[in-house]
Amino acid sequence: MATEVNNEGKEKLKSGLGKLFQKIGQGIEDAASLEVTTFTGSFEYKVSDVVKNGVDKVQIENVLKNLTVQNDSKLELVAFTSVKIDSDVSTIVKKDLSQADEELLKLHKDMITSAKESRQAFIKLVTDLISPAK
Amino acid sequence: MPDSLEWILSKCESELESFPEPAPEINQHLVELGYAPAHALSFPEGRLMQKARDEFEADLGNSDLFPVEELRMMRRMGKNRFLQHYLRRLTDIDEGIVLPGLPSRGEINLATRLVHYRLDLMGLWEMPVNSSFGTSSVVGLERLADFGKCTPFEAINQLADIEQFTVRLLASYPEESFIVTFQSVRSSDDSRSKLAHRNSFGRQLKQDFGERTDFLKFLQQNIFNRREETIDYSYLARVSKSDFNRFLVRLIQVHQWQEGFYNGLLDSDLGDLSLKSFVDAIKAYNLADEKDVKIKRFLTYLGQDYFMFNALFFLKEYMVEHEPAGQEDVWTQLATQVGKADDDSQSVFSQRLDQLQREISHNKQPEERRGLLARIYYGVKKLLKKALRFVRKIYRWVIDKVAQMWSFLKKLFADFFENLAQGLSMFVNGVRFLLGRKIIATSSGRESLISKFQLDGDVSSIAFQASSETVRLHLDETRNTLGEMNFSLTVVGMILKTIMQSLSLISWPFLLFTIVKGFRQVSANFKYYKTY
Repeated sequence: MATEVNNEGKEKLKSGLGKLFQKIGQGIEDAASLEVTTFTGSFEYKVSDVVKNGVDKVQIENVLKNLTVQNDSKLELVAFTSVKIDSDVSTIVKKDLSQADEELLKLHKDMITSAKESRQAFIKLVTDLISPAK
Repeated sequence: MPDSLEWILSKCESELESFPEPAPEINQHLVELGYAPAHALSFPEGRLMQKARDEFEADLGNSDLFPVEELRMMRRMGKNRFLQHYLRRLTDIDEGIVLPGLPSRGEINLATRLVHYRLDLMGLWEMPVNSSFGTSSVVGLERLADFGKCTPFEAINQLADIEQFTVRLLASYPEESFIVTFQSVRSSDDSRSKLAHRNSFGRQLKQDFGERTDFLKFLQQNIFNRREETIDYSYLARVSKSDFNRFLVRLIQVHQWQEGFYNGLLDSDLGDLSLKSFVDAIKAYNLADEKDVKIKRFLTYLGQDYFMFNALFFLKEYMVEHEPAGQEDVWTQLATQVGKADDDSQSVFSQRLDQLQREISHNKQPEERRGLLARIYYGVKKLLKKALRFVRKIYRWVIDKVAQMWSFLKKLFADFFENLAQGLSMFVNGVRFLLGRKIIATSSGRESLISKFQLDGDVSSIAFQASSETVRLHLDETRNTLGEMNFSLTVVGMILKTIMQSLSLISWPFLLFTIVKGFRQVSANFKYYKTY
């Protein structure tokens, strides 16, 4: 009995870890370019939609989902940046930035740095995986 | 039917939920360092303990004992783990903190508390640990320095590694100084009668020291070769009260406490608990080293409350050898053994691990007893080094639940479960990120900022009426989260790499050991998170 239970667990482990390796493989394909987008919105929401017992990811997910399906939400692009693998950078910035938008542009610039670091962490994981064991 | 990867994550998360918070350890260390009185332990969540935590955290930040960036990084492990980490490092006497200098007179800070804590452990401090550095501190340090035959500054730093301090003592004094005499008024008749074998003890000393030494001649004539009523008790009384002898008694008690054999008070009074701890230690080492050392080899009752102890043999025999170069650590070696074991054996091993975890979680709590702190030693570095000596047997001891080794295993595996708790948390965090997204949200009133990070690095942010303050808070949060993410992904990478190389060994216990191994390796290499 113990052996059967163990075998089932082992199969699940193998299959689950296999999926994780697949996921990493997909990430490598997408990592060739980097896109950073910053929006501002006047979407009406209740605080309880977003925050429940601190920060609840599921609630935030719902807000994000709602934003994408409700076409009447007023969402304005503040900036968009695309960084290609060959370091080509394209940026689009909203016209006539207000003072609040200027703050968001600063946020956008910082997010480009963070995005690069995030991608770097992922690439390091991949190189660690394929480099020979020490 | 949950997805197999989701199944792994939920199993990891349910393992995580089974780990207790480290509050008892934190509270004990706060009392040891004088941030709270011992009686505050009766109210672990009380105001005194809360105040002690805040005061310690402030002192830690101002201490200069640790780099600011390191403190900042470690805060990301959560407040309890942060406090536990630094309190343990400060109270560690295996590889403890080396002070850059002695405090100045009148100073009361973390360094002062550390000096007083170490003196207190060695029975050289009578005042509160939170006293300012003054004449009593200097007197205590000078006594310690006299014993260690070095400067006060060197002596207090040598207590960061009791083992090395002991080596120094063994090299600095004649061997006969380590034949310790002590009076134990509270020891039971049962212990006394079991340990009454002075002739055998004397014969053993003859073998160790040679028959012709004046020291041994004296002992034979006045102690071992006499009837109990004619033993020279005035000699025993004199020796047992000598400073160095008393200091050695305390040192031995500290050694036994450090290794988990003794859980009584550190009071230099070797009663039944201490006597039993010697017997337990010998039994454990006999089993581990496949030897048959008899208790009479090093301990005997002489009459009128007096005992004699061969500390020379005890300290030398059970000293930790230098870590063999190139040898993998205990958990790495055990991971391989677990992976190679058959399914039924792994299943029993898993059940035993659960049992160990339950017993460790319900371990004795620190408490006040007779005005003293009944404490637990939480450091494990010495134990891990010792465990290397018999690592090949540990798996079997767990499976067979070997009684003589169970206390040792509980202490050893406490380290495993601590690393596992942190490693699991990193693993789950890292894998969740790899599964697609990480959302960081900052809200204040009706202001809100949400950023979504994807595996390939893409980031989308949406701001709702966000002021410059909310933007600043959001960027801070993002930096912290990315720091954690960086660490978590490195841990995940280390774990996956091991798994890729050992896919045939995969099983749940093997994964747990691999997580511990990965977390320990990354922690050791990761001095601190990226500096922003």
